[in-house]
Amino acid sequence: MVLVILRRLRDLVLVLFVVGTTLFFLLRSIPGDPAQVLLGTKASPEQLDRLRADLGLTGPKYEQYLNWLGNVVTGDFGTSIHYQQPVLQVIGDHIAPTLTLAVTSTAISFVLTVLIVSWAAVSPHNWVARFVNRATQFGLALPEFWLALLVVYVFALNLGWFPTSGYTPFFADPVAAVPQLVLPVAVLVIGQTAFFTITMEEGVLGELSQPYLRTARAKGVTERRIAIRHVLPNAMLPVLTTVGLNFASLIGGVVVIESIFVIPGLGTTLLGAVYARDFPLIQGVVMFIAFLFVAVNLLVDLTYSLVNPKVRVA
Amino acid sequence: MIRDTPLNQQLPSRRHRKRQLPRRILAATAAVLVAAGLASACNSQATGTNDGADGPPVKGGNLTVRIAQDPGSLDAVKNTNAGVSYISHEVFEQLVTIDKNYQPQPVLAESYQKSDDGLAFTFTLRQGVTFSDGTPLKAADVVASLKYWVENGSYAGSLKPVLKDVTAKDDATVEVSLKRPFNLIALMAASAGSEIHKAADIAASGPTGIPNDRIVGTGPYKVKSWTRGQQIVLERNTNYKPPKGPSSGYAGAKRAFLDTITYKIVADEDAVLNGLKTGLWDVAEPSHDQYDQIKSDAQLKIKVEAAANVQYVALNHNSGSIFSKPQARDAMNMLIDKKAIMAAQGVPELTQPSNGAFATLTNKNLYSDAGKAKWEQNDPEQAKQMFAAAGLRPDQTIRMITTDEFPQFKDALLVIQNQLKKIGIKSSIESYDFATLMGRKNNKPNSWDVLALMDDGNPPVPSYTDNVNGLDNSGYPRDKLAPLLEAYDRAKTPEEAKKAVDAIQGFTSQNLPTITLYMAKNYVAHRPNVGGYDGWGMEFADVWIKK
Repeated sequence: MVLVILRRLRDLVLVLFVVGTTLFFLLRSIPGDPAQVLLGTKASPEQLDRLRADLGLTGPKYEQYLNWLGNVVTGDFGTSIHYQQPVLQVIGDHIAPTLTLAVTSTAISFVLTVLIVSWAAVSPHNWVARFVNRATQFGLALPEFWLALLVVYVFALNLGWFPTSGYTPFFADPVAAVPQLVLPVAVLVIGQTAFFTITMEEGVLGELSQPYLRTARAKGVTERRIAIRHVLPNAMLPVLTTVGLNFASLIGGVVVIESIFVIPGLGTTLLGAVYARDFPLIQGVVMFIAFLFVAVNLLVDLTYSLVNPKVRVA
Repeated sequence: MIRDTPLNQQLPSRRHRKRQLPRRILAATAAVLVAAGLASACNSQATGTNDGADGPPVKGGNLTVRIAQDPGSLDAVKNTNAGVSYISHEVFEQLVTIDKNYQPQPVLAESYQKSDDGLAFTFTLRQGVTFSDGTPLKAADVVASLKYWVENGSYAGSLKPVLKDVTAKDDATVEVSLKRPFNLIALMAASAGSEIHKAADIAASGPTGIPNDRIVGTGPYKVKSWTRGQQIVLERNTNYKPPKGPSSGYAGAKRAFLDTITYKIVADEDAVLNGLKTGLWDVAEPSHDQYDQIKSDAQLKIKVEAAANVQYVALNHNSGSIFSKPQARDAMNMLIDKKAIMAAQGVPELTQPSNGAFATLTNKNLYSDAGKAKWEQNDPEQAKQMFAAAGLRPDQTIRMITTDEFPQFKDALLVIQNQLKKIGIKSSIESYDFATLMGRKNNKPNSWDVLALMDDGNPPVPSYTDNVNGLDNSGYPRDKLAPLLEAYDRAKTPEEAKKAVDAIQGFTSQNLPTITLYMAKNYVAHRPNVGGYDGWGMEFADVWIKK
């Protein structure tokens, strides 16, 4: 196990190196200049040149790269041009809202998925199974932004049950935080639950055709026990992968939800950084997201062996 | 009132901004917000007045104001984000600033004098003024601030070659000496970058400006807290010493009724409207799309600003463009139906004809109709002949570029494209985020013909606006423009200044650095609990919350 983790850490360093290096040169090759964005259209060429120099954006690119790489190795990801703060501090300030959304919505979706699929597996011919079959398609087809606008219109503007937008850190004021989280989390849960459910149903269908079930039935094991003890744990493995990857993609990918519900998360921060050509911040956020992807993948792989001890992580 | 605001971060005075963020998001998700800011270059003159209907002022309470993006810093010199000037003018003061009629008025200066030859300005500082931390204001602070502004501020660019020195004669007197006459007071008054900081804070400034832990000014409010990406809270500055005279625009004595002003950072336009309706914030600048909806809501009030942004298309004078030829520029002017483009915006209350002027009708000092007759020309058939005479080949495509951060620009280009198509001329439209657009304009100066943008309808001096200065790198005859701008700077009487403005307007009309399309007004919506708000842009130092 220790070897596996060490190997993965080696891979993580490699991934971050490739992502960081590619991004560094990519950002500097696209049109757009942070100095121009800061100083506006009326800045003189001299003023722009001076600011570029102050920001470390002049000189050969390889020199800039080596400087950046040297700093990153020592844990210094630079200073955000827009926020005037260390990149890691900006990420730290904005990761909590995104993590709150991602963790809450993923956890609720996962539990709902297990409950729904379990019910459908135990009683495959009842109305729940049939309803789930259709509802998942519907849930997948609903565009998130549309659903978000709809729930705001119905539950916030008309019924007044929840605020239209806003974010309060949960531990700072749970009473204010929970109502603000209900609508954005609900929107995410609908799409995610549909996605997880379809994935898990596929797994269940695959397991149901396995010969070992025939043996189990021949030994007199009940259908309920077959479903709960044998089918569902095995069908869970692909769901874990899906949940893991989906969670990682939520970290940088809930821009629409963050925008509509005015949640100051990492997605909108990254988007703003791109518009402002805040190179250090873009690089830092993207590398952080890459780190999360690798870390979550490792976590999922390790969880595999817990769910099914026969699985060995390579 | 928004000043020193780059186009990428300006709140657009137009109806389509409602969809700005979703469009951005779609574009960004396909590729990867800005502002802001992105935000209007619109100086504002209040049409609304506080006529006493709000009852007597009440001290206390919090006003929540929505802004489009976290400004990053409050250094108005090195950060031209609109949010900076929104907030910084509550925190900082200038030697002189503009009143609601755009006239310069002393604030930190008790008085100022211009030498007979126009080469020296002497400012006498108001006595007893302190910064919010209790440090007395001294001439050294003013000297450091003005030098910092001239050296680094993009809007002070026209002053830099003219400036000889800024010196402190004593603790209360500052002299600015010039190499030639220049309209210093107008530029200083209208530029947020000329705000006065402590000399020690200027000395601590880094590449992107004065650090945020050194936001110390002499204004009616000071920064209480700043939660990145969420909100900035100001609180009353108990050390504030107001200037004399009633509050007017940014000038006059501010009474600071509010305990706090909270600026909520909200980019999404739908969220802005929803928050206004449900009371999450008290004041916002919604999009033009939402104007009718807000107007019909009895719970919300609207103040339409009298001033406006100038929406324009710049013509590329560089040799690689057909518009390097004067006949082609005249042909384009003859072709474009400016009033049709204005009508297409769909909100008549918020638009008005530009008449070809680089300043709004309400700006009596700078408005000139010297180019009106040419601006009103519109004859597609004649335009077709003029394009042919200019040498436009049948297979030649007119390349139009703009930014998708302000959809009204692309709307205008689509109308122009249709008008070009009707006379058999091919054209293309490419739309980018602001940074990419500027990159293309600067790095590939011959790769475009027409560029749609907007600029401040109340420039402090004529040279300040793209509609006088042009946008291209080399082809525009600035050498011939320079003496006209200098004549304006040398003007000793309003009549001389007006004559100079007419000459400048005549020059731009003849050379067409841009073709102005229309003026777009901004508006502010607020909840009925807001008292004393006169509609002067986003200035709230004299506002109170009604009980």
